[in-house]
Amino acid sequence: MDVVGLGADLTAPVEVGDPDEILDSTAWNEHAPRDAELRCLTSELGAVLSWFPRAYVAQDGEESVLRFWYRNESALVSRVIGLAGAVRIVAPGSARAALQQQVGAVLEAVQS
Amino acid sequence: MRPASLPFVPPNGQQQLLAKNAPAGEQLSRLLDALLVLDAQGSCRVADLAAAVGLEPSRMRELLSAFMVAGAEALGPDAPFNLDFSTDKGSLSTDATDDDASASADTVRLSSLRGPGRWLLDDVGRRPVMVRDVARAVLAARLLLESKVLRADQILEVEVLAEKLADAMRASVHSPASSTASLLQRAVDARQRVRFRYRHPWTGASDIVQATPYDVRRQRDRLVLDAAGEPVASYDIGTMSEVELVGEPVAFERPVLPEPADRTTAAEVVLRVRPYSNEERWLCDGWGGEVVDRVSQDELDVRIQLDGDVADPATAQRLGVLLLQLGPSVRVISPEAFRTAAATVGRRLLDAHVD
Repeated sequence: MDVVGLGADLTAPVEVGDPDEILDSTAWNEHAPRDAELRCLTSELGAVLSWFPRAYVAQDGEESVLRFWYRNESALVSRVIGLAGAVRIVAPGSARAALQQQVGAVLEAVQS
Repeated sequence: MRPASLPFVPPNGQQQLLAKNAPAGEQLSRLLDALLVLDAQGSCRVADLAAAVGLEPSRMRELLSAFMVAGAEALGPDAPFNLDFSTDKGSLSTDATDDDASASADTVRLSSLRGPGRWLLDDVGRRPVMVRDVARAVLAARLLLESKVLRADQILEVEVLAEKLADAMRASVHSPASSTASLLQRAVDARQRVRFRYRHPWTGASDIVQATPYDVRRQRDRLVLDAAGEPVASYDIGTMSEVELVGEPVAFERPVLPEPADRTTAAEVVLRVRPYSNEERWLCDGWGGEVVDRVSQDELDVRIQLDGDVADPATAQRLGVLLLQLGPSVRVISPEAFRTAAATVGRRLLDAHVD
């Protein structure tokens, strides 16, 4: 890391709330960083994006594409499940498979 | 044991085994790492915990025991936690009858003395730290390394510290929906109507809503807007977008509202989970769940309250999302109508992820 210079102090404290909510748990180190791509309808981007604050957003027709990195796959899968179908995992395949496996296992348990 | 993934704790097995006669400071450091793991997981086997932080299991047990006994006296009357040990038959009682069993107790559990949802590290390790302070610490550590004044053994320690701090910097700090909540609060204060796109969090139905805002508040795990309705309509702020103030300020009178707890119907749900599991901790700490029955040594029933009416399909879908997040080991005991609650939203998720 090269330090070029330091800016002025922040003029106000960083606004923080409940630590359980503000820490992006997908950034916690379960493994090396991986790139993720999620997609949702652009009409639902506002609600989805607030849960993926580090995402870069691009447009593709009626859909928005969210790209970011994560280190905690189970947190990513849990967050996508929590959005109840508003967003889907396109990549990586491991996260997609983990979601399919977890949801499939619950549905199988419900039906048995 | 699920591996701990905490910003300040090295991954499992990364720390070399610490000798029993290591300096007190090093042992305390490992103990604090273990408490971070326990705080995240609630409970785990002593052997797993020892392996995670690089201690002999016997030493881990001794340090935890010492900390458990020292707790309140060492840290003052507000020490907000308790540790207890258990065997495969459950927790040990505090009287002498379980003294023999204590030697074989292989699971340790951390609980808060301040009630559900208030964890130990709320007060210690999770206290918010300013980003600028962490940045300064990273810079200081890097400059120290560049200064060439450190001994070889110190360089390694400082490098590890700098790396941990730099990792912590990468965790973004963000409050979902906070800016929306602020805007809505402004509308409440100004008595000005609002318009927003609302995606129902559980059914997925999407619509444009114009509302007369009365109050912004926390409802269990969510921020909600209470608006005019019969008597009050509550909207989940986390699924709003395109929020704007419309019309003029002072456009309506704010009525006397029911107490917050009375504004939303609550459905009682009983779920069966494994004792000392992440699922039990999630429900008891995150949802304010209450253990209502210890069914067997492998099962216990936890009661939680869900927002919404039992007869409302949206309530079942909200439970469905929770069940999908918890995983297949959790079962719905009551209400019976909710036993297949995960089906609708589960199928919707699988449909969205068809290969």
